[in-house]
Amino acid sequence: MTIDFLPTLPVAASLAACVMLPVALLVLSHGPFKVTAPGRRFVLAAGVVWTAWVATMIAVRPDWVDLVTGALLLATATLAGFTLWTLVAWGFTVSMLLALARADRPLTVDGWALAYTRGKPLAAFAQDRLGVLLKLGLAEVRGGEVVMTPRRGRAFAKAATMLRRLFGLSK
Amino acid sequence: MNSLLVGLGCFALHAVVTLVWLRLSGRTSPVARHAASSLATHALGVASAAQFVGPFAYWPAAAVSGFLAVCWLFAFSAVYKSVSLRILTQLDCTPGHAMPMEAVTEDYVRPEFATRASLLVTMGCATEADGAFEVTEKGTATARRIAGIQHACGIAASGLYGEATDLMPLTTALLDPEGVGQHSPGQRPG
Repeated sequence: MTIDFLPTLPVAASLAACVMLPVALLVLSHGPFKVTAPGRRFVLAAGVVWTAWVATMIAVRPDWVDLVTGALLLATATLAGFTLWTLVAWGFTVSMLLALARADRPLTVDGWALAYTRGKPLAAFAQDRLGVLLKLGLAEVRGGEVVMTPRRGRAFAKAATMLRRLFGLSK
Repeated sequence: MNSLLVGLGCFALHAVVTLVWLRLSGRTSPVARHAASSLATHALGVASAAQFVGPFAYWPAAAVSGFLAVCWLFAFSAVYKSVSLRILTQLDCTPGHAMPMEAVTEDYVRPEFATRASLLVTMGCATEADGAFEVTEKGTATARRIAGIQHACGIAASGLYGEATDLMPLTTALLDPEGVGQHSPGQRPG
């Protein structure tokens, strides 16, 4: 056979670590080990799994190809897992649907926004999303205005614009 | 080493296919295009390598192409859906790179909300009549499934970063992962 589908021991251990990530997340989601904040919970689960993986790699002493393979497999699982996790916890459209279903009656866009933010004005949602830019140092609030930071903010904005062009997205 | 290069080749093919496919109109969602292209180019690349490269281990090739494909999708999702990045790129185009808070709410967040409402209507999860939106049976069933997943994951709050967590990792900020969209890629996704 020209393709060897059988994983080596380090790769098999890495695949097992990928499976352990959702298991660790579930363990930290309930019971005595529950971590309340979903973001921190994911980081902790990923940290535990990555630590176990590093310990295993030290024990099995893989060659560099197996080491890179294992690291990439676990990185893929972490990235994909985090994408799904953030979708469940913070997804915009998902949360809008849940708010409409909770209301169980017709809502105008403004009413829907109120249901989404649980009674807060839409400005609260805007501030919530802006908080991300502020915490990452991409923008600042100065006298009631949102101002892009000259270096980091500009660099991110340029990179985002370039990526939009690359993917053929309209401005 | 050969198998790592095979994985790299699979991804290169995937990148080319998505860059072309995302520019074409159609009903298939962008995320589905990414997924279909990733699987097809991986299968094609591995099968071709088996013919022309000679014996190689599968898993290193799978790891390289899988990792790069996920990063590629991540980058796409960030610029396609993120409200925060949209505000940032608008700030870059604004004179003085500044905007009043009210303008952010009224010019970007409110239209974003309306766009996503239309998306839910398009998906058949909501109906609109006289400017009022109501959840459909399909929407109720979907919402029930999502609530079940949230319950299983121990997530109580949703929607606002500040309510659900005290930690906002970089990837959350960039992604706003909304892989359920059914827009064609050239459209403004909301």
